[in-house]
Amino acid sequence: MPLAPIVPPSAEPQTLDEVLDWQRGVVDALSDRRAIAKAAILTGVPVAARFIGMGVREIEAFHETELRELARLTVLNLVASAEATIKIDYFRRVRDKQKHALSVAYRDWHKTLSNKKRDRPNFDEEGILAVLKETGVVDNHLVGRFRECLKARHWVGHGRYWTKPSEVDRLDPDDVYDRASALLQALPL
Amino acid sequence: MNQKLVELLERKQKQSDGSPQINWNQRRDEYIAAVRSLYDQIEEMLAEASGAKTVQAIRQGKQLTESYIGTYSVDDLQLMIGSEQVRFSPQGRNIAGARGRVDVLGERSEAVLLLQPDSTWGFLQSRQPKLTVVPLDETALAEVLQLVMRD
Repeated sequence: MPLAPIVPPSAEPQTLDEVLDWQRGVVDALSDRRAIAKAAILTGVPVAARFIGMGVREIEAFHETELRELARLTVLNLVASAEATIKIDYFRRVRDKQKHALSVAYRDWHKTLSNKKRDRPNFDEEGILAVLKETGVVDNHLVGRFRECLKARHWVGHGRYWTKPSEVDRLDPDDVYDRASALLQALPL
Repeated sequence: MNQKLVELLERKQKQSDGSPQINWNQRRDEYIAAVRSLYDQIEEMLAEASGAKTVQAIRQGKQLTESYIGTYSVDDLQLMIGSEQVRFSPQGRNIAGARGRVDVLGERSEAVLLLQPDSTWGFLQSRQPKLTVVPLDETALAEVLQLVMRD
């Protein structure tokens, strides 16, 4: 019987570049809208309802708020994209039984998991990243730097109801892209 | 000079030539007059109450600075209603979608009044999900005061 595909046809995985390109497109659109709203102050032309009654400083502050929210959602998407790539790589190594040290380590760990966890293994602590770090096949510094991004991703992705981790304000989408990209590129073929 | 720079400057000059010149002094003066008119309108609405000494109205000058217009003088209107103070504070002429704005600052909250294109004042009830600006009449003034003052 043929094995089920690791990435089913209805899946829509995004690459890091696709996520960043989307963010830049939205930044362009928001910047255009800000320019239109500011120009409306001078020309008196109609403006979108949300800008009615705003002065230049309020339009700028509103724009900054939107950019900050966009950055947070982009960080969420970037980390999710990298997580998906690492998990897909994990399942391929488990399935294809390659001889590389990372593949062997993944398979050995996979055998220790319950059936439920084999379908949805942990990712960070006591999970795939921990195994990846133990094997030493990639620079542990790269794993550590990517793990910091997870804190920002979890905070945004789970409703922001606990104390904001410092990484949320410290890491912008470009930082997260660099960290995620560095880890993915370091994964052995 | 760099050709791209020359082209950019020429293009901007042409765009500027095609658009009508804005008389900033006129805009400023119309805004200041509209603010005075607003205060007259409010004081008239409150006249009966003020006569009974339940409301005191005081106009106090302040300086506003805006891009293109510069610095100018305009009045705040301060209402003393019982032991509470409500201040009508002009925010400027350069406002998106309006010809000027006055904020109403109370001890509980704030409200926004906008000078409409037809030169009447309106109370900005909401921007989202639907833009709602109602004409400033006695009903709207009561709503504004209830909104900004303590219960």
